Amino acid sequence: MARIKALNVKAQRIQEVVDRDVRGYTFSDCCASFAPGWEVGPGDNPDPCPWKSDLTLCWSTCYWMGQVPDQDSYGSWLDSCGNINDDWRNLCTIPDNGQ
Amino acid sequence: MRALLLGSAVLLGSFSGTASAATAWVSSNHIQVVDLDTAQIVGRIPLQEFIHDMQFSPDGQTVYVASSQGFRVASASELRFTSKVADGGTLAVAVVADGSQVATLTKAPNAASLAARKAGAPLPPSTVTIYSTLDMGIVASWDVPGGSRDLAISAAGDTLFLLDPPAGYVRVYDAAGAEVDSIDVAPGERAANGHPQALYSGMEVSPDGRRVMIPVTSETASSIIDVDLAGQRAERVIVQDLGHRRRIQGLAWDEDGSGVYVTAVNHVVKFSDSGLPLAWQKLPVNYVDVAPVPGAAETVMVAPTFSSKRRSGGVSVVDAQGNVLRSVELPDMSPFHVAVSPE
Repeated sequence: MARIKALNVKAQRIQEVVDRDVRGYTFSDCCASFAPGWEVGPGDNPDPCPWKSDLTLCWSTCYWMGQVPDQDSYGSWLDSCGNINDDWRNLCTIPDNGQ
Repeated sequence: MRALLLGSAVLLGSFSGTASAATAWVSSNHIQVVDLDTAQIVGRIPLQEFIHDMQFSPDGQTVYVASSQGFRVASASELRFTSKVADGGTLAVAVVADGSQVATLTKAPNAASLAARKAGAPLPPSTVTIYSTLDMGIVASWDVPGGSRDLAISAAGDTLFLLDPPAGYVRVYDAAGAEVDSIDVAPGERAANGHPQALYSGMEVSPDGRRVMIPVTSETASSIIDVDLAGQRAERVIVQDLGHRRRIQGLAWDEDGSGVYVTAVNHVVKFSDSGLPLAWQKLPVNYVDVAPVPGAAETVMVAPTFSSKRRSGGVSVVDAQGNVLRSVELPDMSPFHVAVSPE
């Protein structure tokens, strides 16, 4: 890839684009980066990474605090989830009350 | 019929019985016990607390459980909790080789962490505690950096290793809590604030205590940080590229120390002791934790989502070639952790 050089203005702009923090992914094996909840399966395939699983994985390891509470501040957030595939509906929302 | 009876036992809650010699304890906010020979559920231990870690005692009689609200001891034969040793969110537990001591990592209270987050301050310190398993009395306890996620203890119990992801270090302590070393395990250049630009999944010390493996996922690569603890290599820390960018999730040393198993999204690989990743094997579902089966060339893996249609989790026994040998579907559980009873 480093050997390919942009030859016109449009190509240079594309090359200079900085990836945004939030973006959707469609990879054959998904989850190529940690953007939980945004992975989708390629084509019409089922999502190989169900976002419900990401709730727990990101609560414990990810930086994704804008969408999922972190375990340091909300250590009991998942205590009511025996089966995240069903019980995610019971998860409480963390209010942003500005405090 | 047996399955029906076992299913009824599961529905009734705590199951009183004797687990077989080869069992896997799998957990979400409770524990289910799987007979690995038959792939059947043989017990269930209710809790209503998310379980972060479980470790068997070397004799297989006791299981130490770290949960979101405390540190507990369970009887492996009675399949029930026998005591709650300490309160507080406990993230990791480690047992010395002779079973005489157990160490825990406990984070600061939720309110203190939240206040620090809102103030933009560093997280308050976490705590490492070493207990004597004779009476679960405290042998030593000391503060460690907030945000620490995993710990391991040497076979002799004289050295403790702590994974500190916010700093990108493995911190090494003696048994009294003095920090005797710190090892930089950031896989690449650090961000402007000094933080490593990677996600750490955990840490595993080899059975002989000479190496520690730390899987990391960054935006550009999945790697294993291979740390030489015994001073046998010229380079103490080697970043081993795993060959693709899937998010690393499970990690476990093989029983004989010949390598580590790594699960990534829908795949598993055994990373050999010589530093070479063997071929990645594609798996039908996404297994997030792995543990070797003692005395067999098999591993146990857990999948929070085993069937999307049926909204179930699952546990599988997988051979050395990555073939799924046996599975049990868990209609009422999405397991995230697994511990296998010793031989």
